[in-house]
Amino acid sequence: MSSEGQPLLEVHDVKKHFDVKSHGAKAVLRAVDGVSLSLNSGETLGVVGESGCGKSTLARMIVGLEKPTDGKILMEGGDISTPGRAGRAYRANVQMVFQNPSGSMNPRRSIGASVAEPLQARGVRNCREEVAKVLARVGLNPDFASRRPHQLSGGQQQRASIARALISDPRLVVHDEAIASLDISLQAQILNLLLDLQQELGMSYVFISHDLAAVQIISHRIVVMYLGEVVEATSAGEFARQPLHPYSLSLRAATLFPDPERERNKPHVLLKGDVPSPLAPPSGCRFHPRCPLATDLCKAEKPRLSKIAEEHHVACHYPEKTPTITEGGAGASRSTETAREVI
Amino acid sequence: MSDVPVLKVEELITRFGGGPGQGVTAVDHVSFSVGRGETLGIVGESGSGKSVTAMSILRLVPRPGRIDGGRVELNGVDLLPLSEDEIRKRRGTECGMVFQNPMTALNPVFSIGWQMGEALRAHGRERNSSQIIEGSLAGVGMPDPQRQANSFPHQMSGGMRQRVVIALGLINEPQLLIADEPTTALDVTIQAQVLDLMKKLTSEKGAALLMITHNMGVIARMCDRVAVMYAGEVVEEAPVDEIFSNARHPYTRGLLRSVPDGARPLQKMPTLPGEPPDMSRPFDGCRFRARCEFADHRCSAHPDLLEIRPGHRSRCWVAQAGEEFGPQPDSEADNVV
Repeated sequence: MSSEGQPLLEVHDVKKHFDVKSHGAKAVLRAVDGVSLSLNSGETLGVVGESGCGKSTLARMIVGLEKPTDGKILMEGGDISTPGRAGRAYRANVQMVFQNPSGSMNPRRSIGASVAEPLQARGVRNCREEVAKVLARVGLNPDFASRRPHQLSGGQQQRASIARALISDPRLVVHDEAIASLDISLQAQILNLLLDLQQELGMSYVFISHDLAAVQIISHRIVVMYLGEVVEATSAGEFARQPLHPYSLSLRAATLFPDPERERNKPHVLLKGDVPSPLAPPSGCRFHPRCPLATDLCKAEKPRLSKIAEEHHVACHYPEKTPTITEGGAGASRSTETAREVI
Repeated sequence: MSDVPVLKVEELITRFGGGPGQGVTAVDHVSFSVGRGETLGIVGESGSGKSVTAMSILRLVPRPGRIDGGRVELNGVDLLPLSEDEIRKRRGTECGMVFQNPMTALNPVFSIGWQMGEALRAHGRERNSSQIIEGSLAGVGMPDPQRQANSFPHQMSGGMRQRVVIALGLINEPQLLIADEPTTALDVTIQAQVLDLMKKLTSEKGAALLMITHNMGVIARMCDRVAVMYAGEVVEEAPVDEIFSNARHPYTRGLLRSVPDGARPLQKMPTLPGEPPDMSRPFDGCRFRARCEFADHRCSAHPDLLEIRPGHRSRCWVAQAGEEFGPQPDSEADNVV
C-alpha cells in the first residue's frame, strides 16, 4: 500500500524519442519531451491534446508498453521498469483500455477468455466466477462470456474491454480515447459507468482524450499537452473557471457545444495554422507560431512549467494576458457562467 | 429564397441486399428539402441512414445497395431516372460532395493540382485551369497555392487535405454542397477553421449546404434547419433553435441530453438507455419505442412524420397529441446527481 501522501503514479521528466527517417535522412521524433505529472489514489487525471501531442505515447509508457528514452515512471514509489518480479508487481497494478474495442479483442476467442487473460497471466487457473462477476459489474449479462466480439455491439465491446481491465483489480486504469469510437448516447453511458466504477472501487484513472468536454466531465485534474510537452496542469475546477495557457483557451473556444445561440456568437478560431511537425519543433515556446500573444521572448526562450497558483501550473511567459484573448466576446461571458455552475 | 428548393428529396427508399422490396431498408421514406443559401443538418448516430441518404442523392450507393423508390429533385429535375452519363454531368457542377476522410477521398499517386484539374476536365473546363486551381486553393486558405498544387496528399496535414477536398467539392461552383462528416477526422482547432471556411464559401456563393454529422455542436454552429434520423427514418425536423430549445421527439431530447458540456465535473450525465436497433429485423410500431421513457399503448402503431406546428415535424404520438415531455433537456440535467 502507498504511504500517506505518496502519489499513486509519478511521472518524472519522461521522454520518448523515436528514430525515424524523414526524406531519406535520419531524424529524431520527440513524441514526448520531458513530461512530469503525478496522480493520487482515487483520482482521475485527464490528459487532453490534439493528434501528435504525445498523449497516446505517454499512455503506453505509463502501462509499460513503451520504454521511456529518459525519465522515470513510479507506481506507488516503485519504478515500473524494474526487471523481474518486483517490476512485474508494480506493472500489475496498471491496466489499459484502448480506443477501438473491436481491434483490441481477439476475434477468435470468446469474451470470457479475453476478459480472463489478465488473471491467467498471473497464474489463476479457474476464473469463471470472477469473469461473471466483472461482466455484471460493467453492466453486461454474464452469459456474454461465451460470445465472440463480433456478436457484441460497439458499446458492449467497450464494456467488455473495461471488464478485462478491471478483472485483476488494478489501482490505475489508463483509458486511451476509450469513448472516441462510440456514438454519443453510448459515450454518455460509458462515462457514467466509469464514474460509478471509480466510486465503488476507488481506483485511479488516466483519461486520455481529444474531447475536452468529456475530459472535463470525468477528471479531477487536467493536463493539456502540446507537441510532446505539458503546457498547463490544473484542477478541473480551475480549468473550467479560467485556463491560463493560450492553447488551452483556444482548445476550449474550438470545442462546439449543443447551443446554437452561443455557437453563432462566440469566436471559434483563435488559432491559425496547423500543429507543427514534432520532427522539427519550433524554437523557444513550441506554441509561439500559432499564439496570438507571442513576442520575441517566446521565440527565443522556452517557458518553464511554473506554479502560478495552488494546483495551477502553466508553461507560458504571459499567463496573465491569456484571459484578454476573448475578453468582451461571448466566450468570456460563458466562462464566468461555467464557473458559477462549477461552484 | 426562390420557390423551387435546390434539393428536394421525397419518400426516398434505399435498401441493401435481398430482392426487390426486400433486404435491409437503410433509408425508409425519407423526405426533406434544402433551399438556396440554406444549411440543413442531418444528424443521427451510426446506422441511422444519414450517410446512405447522402450517397443516394448523387446515386453513389455502393452495391449491394440500391435505391428502391422516391424522388431526388436537384433544381427541379428528378435524378433517379437519369442515365449514368447525365448524372455524371451533374455531379460536381450542380452538386459537390465533401467526404469524411480526406486521406481516402484523394488519390495518393496524383498531385493535388492534377486531381483538381481532373474535376475541371470532366466538365470541359480546360481553359485557364491552373489559374482556377490556384484561385480555389487560395480560396480555402492555402498558403502558397502554386507550390501546394504540385504537392501530393501525403505531404499535407489532415487539415490541409480536408481543405483540398472542400476546394474540390466547390471547384465547379455547384449550387449544392453535401458534406458528410467533413470534420470528424480533424482535431478541434482545425475543425473550427474548416467549418468557418465552409460556412463562408457557401454563403458567399449562395449555395445550399447539406451537412451530415453526428455532432450536435456542429449542428448548432452551422445549420439553419435540422432533420434528426433514427433507424432509417427522419423522426423530427425543425429550425435549429427550435430543435435545441423545444425538441418534440424523445430521441432528439435524449441525444441532446447526452452531449457533455463540461459544466458539471464528476457528475453523472443523463443518458439514453439501450442501443440503436438491429436494422435487419422487421420493426413493429414506433422504432424508438424500446428506448423511450414515454412509450405507451399508442406506440405499437407506427407514427407518421407530421407537422405539429409551422415548420416543425415530429414522428411521435405524444408530440402529435400535443402532450408535454416534462422539463426541458437543460433543466432536467440539473436534477440528475
